[in-house]
Amino acid sequence: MTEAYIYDAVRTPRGKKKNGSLHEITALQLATQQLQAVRDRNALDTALVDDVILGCVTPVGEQGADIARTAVIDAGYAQTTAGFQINRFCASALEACNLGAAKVMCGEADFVIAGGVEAMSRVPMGMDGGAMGIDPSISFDHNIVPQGVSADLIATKYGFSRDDVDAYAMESQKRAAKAWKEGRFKNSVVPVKDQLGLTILDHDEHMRPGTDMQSLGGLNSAFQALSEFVGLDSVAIQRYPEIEAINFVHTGGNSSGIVDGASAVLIGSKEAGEKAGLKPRARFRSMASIGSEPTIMLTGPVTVTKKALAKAGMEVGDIDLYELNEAFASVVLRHMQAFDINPAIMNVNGGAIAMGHPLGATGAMILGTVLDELERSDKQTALATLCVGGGMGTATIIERV
Amino acid sequence: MKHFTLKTDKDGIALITFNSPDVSMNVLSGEVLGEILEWTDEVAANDAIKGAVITSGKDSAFCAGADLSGLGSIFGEAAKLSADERSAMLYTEFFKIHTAFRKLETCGKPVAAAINALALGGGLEITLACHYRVAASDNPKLKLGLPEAMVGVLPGGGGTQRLPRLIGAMNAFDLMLQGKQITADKALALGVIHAAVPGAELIENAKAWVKANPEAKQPWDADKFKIPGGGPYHPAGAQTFMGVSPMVRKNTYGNYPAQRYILSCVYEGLQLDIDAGLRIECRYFTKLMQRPESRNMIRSIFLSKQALDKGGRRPAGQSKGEIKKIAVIGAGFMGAGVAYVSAMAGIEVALVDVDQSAAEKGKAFTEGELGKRVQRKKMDQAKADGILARITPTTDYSVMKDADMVIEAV
Repeated sequence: MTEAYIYDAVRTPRGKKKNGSLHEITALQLATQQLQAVRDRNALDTALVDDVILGCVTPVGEQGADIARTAVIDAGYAQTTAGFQINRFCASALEACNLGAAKVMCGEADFVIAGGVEAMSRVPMGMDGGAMGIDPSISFDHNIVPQGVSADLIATKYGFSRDDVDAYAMESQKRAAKAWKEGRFKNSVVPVKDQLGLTILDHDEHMRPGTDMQSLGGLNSAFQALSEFVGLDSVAIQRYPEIEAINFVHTGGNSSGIVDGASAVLIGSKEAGEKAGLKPRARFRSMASIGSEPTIMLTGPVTVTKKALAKAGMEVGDIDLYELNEAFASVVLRHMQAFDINPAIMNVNGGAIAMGHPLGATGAMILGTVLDELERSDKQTALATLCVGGGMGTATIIERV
Repeated sequence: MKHFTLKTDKDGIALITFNSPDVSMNVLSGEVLGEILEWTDEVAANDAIKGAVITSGKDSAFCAGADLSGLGSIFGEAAKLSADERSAMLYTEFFKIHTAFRKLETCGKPVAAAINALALGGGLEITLACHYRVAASDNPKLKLGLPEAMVGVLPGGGGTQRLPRLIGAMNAFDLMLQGKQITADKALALGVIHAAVPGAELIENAKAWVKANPEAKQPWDADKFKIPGGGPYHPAGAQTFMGVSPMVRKNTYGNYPAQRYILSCVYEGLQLDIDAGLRIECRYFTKLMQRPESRNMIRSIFLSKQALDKGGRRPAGQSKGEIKKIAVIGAGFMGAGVAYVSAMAGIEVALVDVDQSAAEKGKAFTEGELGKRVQRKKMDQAKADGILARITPTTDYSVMKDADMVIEAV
């Protein structure tokens, strides 16, 4: 089978939701500028790109009607490049990369660009409706609760205190600040230009580098009031009767930030890269997606990590760096607990708690981030994964070439 | 017609009076539905009739709901069929009420309900199929509601479709899921009825409305109808639907299919027009009526309880006992409580303890509880004094002599 390689990975800086710099930039522009960056950085003849796959979790309004093909046209790509949008919730962009790699592996495509876009300040979460939380035949019969309640359920079930999750959040802020200070993201971050072509944002603006345990400790639970008002805690406990009461530990400070952003990864075969004069940076070693129990919902990374490792014929210890999306602190803490992973190799440069989580774009962002870090620290193998709504999980193992 | 009379006045307004013979309350049965179709046809076809007012000839109730005891024979027939045939047969049977009510509200002439007394379940649902509802404001026993879920049933006469289209999903859920029974004033405030007037003016008010509204149409049959508060995928309506499922699961632990199916009736029905919505409701009703939970609840909580309340187990010739006075031995926590609830129920209580101060302390509990009621304006002082006077604290066991019952609470 043909091997699939990563040739380049770019992302926007992440703009915060409230008074954020990217609020004035359309979702289409975010995607378009990333496609243009991939083309321009690699002097790529876009006629060689067979397909563009973009993740997007709220594909309505300006993000609707196949934003991938829309961005292909808008970016001035060859008209022969196709495009489609996918939705695997938070792992959409990583799933896009896996799909792109699969297209290359099976010989359908030579080059694919995979990534995602989510302008969360412009197209709010939930705008696309969906039966999951609204139709009683799913929400009632299958004990579906919002993710925040699932995250608190994980903390309760696996014994993470408020101090544990806050300490993790503080570390995320510290690592992100250090990474920015040392310029560790400079290879991947492509500043976003405004309507005049001037830079409107060149850094992740959701970060709060001064965060300490005291400021985190002062924040109120993000999910307790609503949960107890409508009985979501009871719904979760009816599925997990071993739990007496939910310990509501998550706040705005130890959960991922709501931000705007886009990402793109150039994936291709060895042959295609040689023809285009490009040097591969990493190889796809294995890929997997799974479903798991949907009430606790966010422990999918544990299950999918096992599956991806098994497919690669690897063990936990064979992975040099782990990158797990910081949707909520308890998700990462549970993952490290399950596999006894050294915190020093998990999310080395911080994550979504500090920098934000533009839902449909994050998966390709963390893949790029961990590849940069492999190169910087001269390591070989990395596993990127995300927890996913509905109890799913998606993972990718890459190794440098 | 056996159950209804129809009298047309000089203005051409037909007064239709529901007054089933030989029963204390009007209820909906197959026979009654047949007659509703009969007079609806008459109202629709007779050019001399300009509109109609429906009322009840009984002070006890406008209509107390469906005749649940009549379901027995339907299920007897259904039991002989295969599962699929049974569902189809029951659906056809249960859809008859929709055919009748839908015909009524689309008969082309204004129809008003003059609700003189209690209207529950199917009794309220028939008024929801009228274009105008006015209720008597001066009948303290008049209650309106859809209490079906309390006996394991869902409102199967269009209630799950018409009520949310009238007052919004949130308020409709509130009434249906807990089977709340509300006063005319409250119903007026919620928009369930259009007016509340003294009983003596009821018919006049309803007739005046019919006269003034010859083109009456249900809101949900109007061209640009919008669901108050929004449907399941309206930004505001979505909040209601996201919240209601966990709320019901919290309270029912998933053990009450009636509440569960009401959620689906409203969720699915509000995305469709009224006719499709009624088909959805009827499917869930048919499904629900085949669930053991519902059958058992109808039997235990409704039919058997009614029979018990009427003394169904009383041996023939056994005279009715009456408790006028009790003696409670021991004025501690339990004795004081027994004394309190007994005095509240109008029973004389001798509260006995080993020393007088202990007996007095037991009585003081009732004084305290009554004081709270007076303070909250739930009771006036005179009534509280009367209740308190029924309790006699004593150390004298001889008071047991003329007690109808002695309760040992030591």
